Amino acid sequence: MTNYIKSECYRVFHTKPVYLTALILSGLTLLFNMVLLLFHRYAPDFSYATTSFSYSNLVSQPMLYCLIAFFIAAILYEGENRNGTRKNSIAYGICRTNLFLGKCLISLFTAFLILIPTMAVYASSASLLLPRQGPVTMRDLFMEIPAVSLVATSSVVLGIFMLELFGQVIYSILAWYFIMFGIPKIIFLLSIKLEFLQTAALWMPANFFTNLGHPGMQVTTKTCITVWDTGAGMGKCLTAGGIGILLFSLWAIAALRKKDT
Amino acid sequence: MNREYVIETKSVTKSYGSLLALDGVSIHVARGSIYGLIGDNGAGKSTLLKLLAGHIFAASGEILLFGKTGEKELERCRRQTGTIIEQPGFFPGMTAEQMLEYYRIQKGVPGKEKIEEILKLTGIWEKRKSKCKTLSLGQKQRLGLAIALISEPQILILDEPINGLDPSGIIELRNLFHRLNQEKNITILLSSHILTELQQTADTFGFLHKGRILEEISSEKLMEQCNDYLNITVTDPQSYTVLLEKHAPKDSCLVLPDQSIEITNPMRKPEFYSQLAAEHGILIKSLEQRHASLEEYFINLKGVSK
Repeated sequence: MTNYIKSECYRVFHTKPVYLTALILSGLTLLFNMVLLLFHRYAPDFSYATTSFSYSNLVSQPMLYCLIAFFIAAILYEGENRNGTRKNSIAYGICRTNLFLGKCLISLFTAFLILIPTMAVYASSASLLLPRQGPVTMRDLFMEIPAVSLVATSSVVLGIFMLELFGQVIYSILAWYFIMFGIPKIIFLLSIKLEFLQTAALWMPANFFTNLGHPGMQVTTKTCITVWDTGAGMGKCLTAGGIGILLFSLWAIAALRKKDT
Repeated sequence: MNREYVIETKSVTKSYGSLLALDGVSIHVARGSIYGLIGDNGAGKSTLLKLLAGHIFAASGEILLFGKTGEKELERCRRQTGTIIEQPGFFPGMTAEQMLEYYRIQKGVPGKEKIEEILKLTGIWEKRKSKCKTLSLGQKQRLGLAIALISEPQILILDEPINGLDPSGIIELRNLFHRLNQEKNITILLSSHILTELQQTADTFGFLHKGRILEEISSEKLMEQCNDYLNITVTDPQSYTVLLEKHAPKDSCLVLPDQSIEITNPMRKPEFYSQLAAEHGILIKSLEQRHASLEEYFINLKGVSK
């Protein structure tokens, strides 16, 4: 598996998609903060041109990390079946489980590499261009990263699994979205009638990263209450992520171990 | 003498839904041989090669590589194989050289100089800086072969390797196969439905038809089995047949409906037959010598299997 990971690292650094993704994401964050700056300059009554509002867009949507992490995994591996590169590795005797784990690690590594410049541009452009006002601070923004890290990892594991299972990116996206967002929502709705589902529903990231439950996340222009504010909340984020990683990994290994290519 | 088989399958069966693609297939590929897998489209050639490469799993039966079986052992043995099945796999945005470097790292091959050697060996050195997506089908086949060869495999498994190659490319590749086989003792298992090409490359043949192996045969045996024919048209076939029975009693003659005479595996040179006719005042209208091809042999074999 080590050699497979090394070869994938070589590919990551020798192809454009990763650089392009980093450039696009960094560019978008910079553009967003520049638009806020323009409003700040030319529309004095516009109350959202603050660092707090800028940060709150990410702080209030932790699942965005999961979406972007899956998006990066999809960029790296969506063409595998079409290009026929997976079969070369299998024919060389790399077992499917190792391939799967290798892909997860490479996707996470790549996502982390992209995260660094994106967050640097995001935070620095906001703090340099916008007035530092409001409840959401840079600390909230950076504390979000460890809080969602394991949930985002589970999202990558599920994403790679879906890509391997379906081969086609569109089905993989739909299945991934259904599992990450659809099922938690369905269980939450069912838990309104069926109380025994309530605990399970509120342990699902797509639910507890919103204002559902008690106390729930509240990130507005006036308040900033995040799940990871407290030790217990941070523990919940990490535990839920850990459970997700374990669950999706075991499911993937069981399903892919003997899957025809 | 028992030969060492580096590839062996025992009663391998594989289905795709209700379609039985392979039905109890057993093949035996000896070390150092070039084994040609012959079959029509849909006969199960690619399925069999995919099973050997580990792309798919057999429903029943046993696969042995270097005499070893079991999934873990097979995975280990596959590190000594190079394969191209259906189309060679590449990342379209990488250059040929990068692609080879990628697989050199993945296969743990030391030394970057290996890349130049392999690119030159497979004849795509000039295209090393070209992106894979811009390569022609023939160049892609060569790059696929380069990837298969980068780890110095003991076995090459190639599915329709000459697809997309121009005539000179086919000859070059054929010569390369012979060189790899003779100089590096690489065992080659290749499939094709272009039988004339396989006939010139392989030394052992396996005939696959509708998911079943009809026969495995060496090229020497095949040559013996593929009869020579002499077809003679004369002015008086009856008298000529009598003459043949008297002067060439070991020859097997048959008067065909068009009144021509067919001699199977003639014992003497064609001049003998023309001289015999001339000496007895019989005029030869035509004399044609031919050898049954691999294609005819395969067609006959399919006919018998029905």
